[in-house]
Amino acid sequence: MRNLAKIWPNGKWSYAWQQLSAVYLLVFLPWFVWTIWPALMGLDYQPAQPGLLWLTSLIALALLFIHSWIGLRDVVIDYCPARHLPMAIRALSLVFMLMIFNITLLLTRWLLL
Amino acid sequence: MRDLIGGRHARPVHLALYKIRFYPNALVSISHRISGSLLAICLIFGLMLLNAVALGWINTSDITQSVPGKLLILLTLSSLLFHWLSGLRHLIIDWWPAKDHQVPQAWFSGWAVSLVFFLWAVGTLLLALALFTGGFVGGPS
Amino acid sequence: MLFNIQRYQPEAASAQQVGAQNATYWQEMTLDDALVKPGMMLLDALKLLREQDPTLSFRSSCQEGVCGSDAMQVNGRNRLSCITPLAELSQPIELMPVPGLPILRDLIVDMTLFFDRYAQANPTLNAGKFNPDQEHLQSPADRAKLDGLYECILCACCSTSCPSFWWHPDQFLGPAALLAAERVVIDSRDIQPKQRLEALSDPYQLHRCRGIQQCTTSCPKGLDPSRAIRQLKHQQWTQS
Ligand code: SF4
Ligand code: SF4
Ligand code: FES
Repeated sequence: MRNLAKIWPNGKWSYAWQQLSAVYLLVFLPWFVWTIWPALMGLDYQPAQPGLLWLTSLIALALLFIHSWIGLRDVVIDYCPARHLPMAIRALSLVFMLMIFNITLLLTRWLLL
Repeated sequence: MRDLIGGRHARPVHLALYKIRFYPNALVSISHRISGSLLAICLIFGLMLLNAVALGWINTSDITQSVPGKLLILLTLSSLLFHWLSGLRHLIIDWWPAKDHQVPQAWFSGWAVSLVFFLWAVGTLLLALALFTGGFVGGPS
Repeated sequence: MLFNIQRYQPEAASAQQVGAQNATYWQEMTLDDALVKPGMMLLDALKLLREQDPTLSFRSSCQEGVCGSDAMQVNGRNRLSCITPLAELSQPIELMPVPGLPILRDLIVDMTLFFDRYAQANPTLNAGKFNPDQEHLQSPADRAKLDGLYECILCACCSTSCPSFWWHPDQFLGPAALLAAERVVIDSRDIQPKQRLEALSDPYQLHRCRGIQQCTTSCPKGLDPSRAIRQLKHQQWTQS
């Protein structure tokens, strides 16, 4: 946990994660839209490789959260006055934890139904 | 820091942004940031709506067939498109393969910047047309 | 020739008891066109204006673009007045101090924050224990890597045009100091590039840079601090 705390707010690591997630999402998003295009057009649609779609989408979801967490944290660090910064970062972390919890809940529910 | 300058030194500081010339690149940079923040807000909103759907409070069609719902979708997709385009340019600059990271100035020029905005405008227009004249019914459900 | 200059006189300001932020005011000044000679620089014009109003304050020293003391915001851009040809400026010429640093008087700002960040970057070569019998040799190829990094005159045109530096002048090193940091990191004679890079891995000193590129576009010496910063960010991973 202590090591994690060293890695997360760290500029070097967040830079690398930001780049990594950006590259993945950059490639994934067009591919994803391409793959589910029939569904978007309202046609009956069964993915050819549901496993692959699931796996890549889950990775994308995780990276999306990492990407937005780092991005928002940067925005907060830049514009929030220094004396409110710890509070703001904590609030942001809380929102993210809630969102991740919520998503997990929704996904499990959807899978079970 | 603003406290730092204003308080301790009690000196005026020139930060009248409208008096400062920003180069085209700065415009993309700040728009990348704004679209990113919008996306985060849309993510929270979308998640709330998803919960409402899961709990049976509303139907997917309430979102995809209503004007506010369509506007939210348009906002999300349009911000996403911009973020994607400017992010692509950002990554190209960051990972320019040439020795010593010497990126050709063309990538910072007004042309490159205008191209990003142009593609985004066209894309947004197409999205709006698709959303409001039919086509999108809903995500995979 | 018409000038519009943002003025600040601390004595007058404290006499009026106005808040510091409101104590600046704009003054229009005119320079007789007969006095304007071809090839004249902005600094020459400022000196003539100072004859009209001796309280008009600005810094200058070398007057040929090598000392870095006369950075100011000219028509929205940070420039050195001594190498800015009058002829290429549209009128009225709008002069302000460089953004983001405390104004001491008229066009003169307090550079302490800027130089503090430079010191923090620790841009001194460390070639190991001093040994008078041994030269520190460097191949021409390694020497060439320093080109574009060592020529900085610390004028602050870049750092004071960088939004990230405006928001965190006490924590973000800013383009000028980072350019200097890269100059020693990449020097083949330095013995601690890894430690230097590791010291910059927090979220502030290096990583507040968002690649806005205001720095590179502002540098009057044609240097590219943004490139040096990209290099630093990559070297953090490739050199450790
Ligand atoms: S890099 Fe250029 S703009 Fe920045 S301080 Fe050095 S000479 Fe001035
Ligand atoms: S590239 Fe970095 S250092 Fe240069 S102006 Fe932009 S944020 Fe500042
Ligand atoms: S007076 Fe020395 S750089 Fe202008």
